[in-house]
Amino acid sequence: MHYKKVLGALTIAGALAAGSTAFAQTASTTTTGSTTTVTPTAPNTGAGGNTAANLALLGASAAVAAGGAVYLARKKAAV
Amino acid sequence: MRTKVALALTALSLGVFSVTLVHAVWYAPDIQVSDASVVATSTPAQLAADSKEYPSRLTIPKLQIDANVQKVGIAKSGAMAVPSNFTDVAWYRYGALPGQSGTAVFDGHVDNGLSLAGVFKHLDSIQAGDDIYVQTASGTKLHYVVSGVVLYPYQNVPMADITAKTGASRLALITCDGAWVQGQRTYDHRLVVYANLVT
Repeated sequence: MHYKKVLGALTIAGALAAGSTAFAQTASTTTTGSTTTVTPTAPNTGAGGNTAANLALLGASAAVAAGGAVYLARKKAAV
Repeated sequence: MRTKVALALTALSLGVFSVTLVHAVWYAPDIQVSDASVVATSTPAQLAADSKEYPSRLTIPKLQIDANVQKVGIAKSGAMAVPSNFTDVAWYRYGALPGQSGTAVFDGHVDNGLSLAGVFKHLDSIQAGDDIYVQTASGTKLHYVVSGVVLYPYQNVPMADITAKTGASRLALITCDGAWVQGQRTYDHRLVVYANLVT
């Protein structure tokens, strides 16, 4: 049961980090004779808005890793 | 059985942690479309000759920027691709070469996935008259002077004009600005710095 909760938290954090929609526009294409020129759209040069999702994912994965390590260490000590 | 699950979860979590940290802070490459599907107008000999004039470093003394230059094309999203990290700048390789006719276009990140400063974090403090230098692969150092700084809504950046290969030799430096648009996962403005070639 405990593991299901952890997996659920990781899944939610992953979905947050991945986001549902990414910035995408269509590049325009111009053809003159045999020359094709593609005009790109503006570059996406920032990632700061993903900070909360990234921190959530980092925190959740660190917590799970630490919990797992502690559990494994205790299990080993008990044997 | 529980031990195996714990071991697997721990390993998975460490993997997620590592990938997230690297992607947020150090390495975030764009998936670019292949050259063949974009343009096929240059011969191999011409490309080899041009490669000596490819930019290798971009320097802005006022902002203490001295950055390596990556060569990029068009991302899968249709946008000009960006550097694969947050400390380099990228030159649009289908546009003009620095020092030649037209606008040589560079972009760089304003911040990374943890909101730490990217190479162009302080680009908004540059002003008309400030110096920008571009060093080419052959060692030539080109001197540009900032002529204007313009803020565009991100859906209305005049990329056709900015990537033009005709007209006076100039630079355009692009980075993000404004507020984050969660639905699009991008900032709502683009800051473009224009600079004219002096020598």
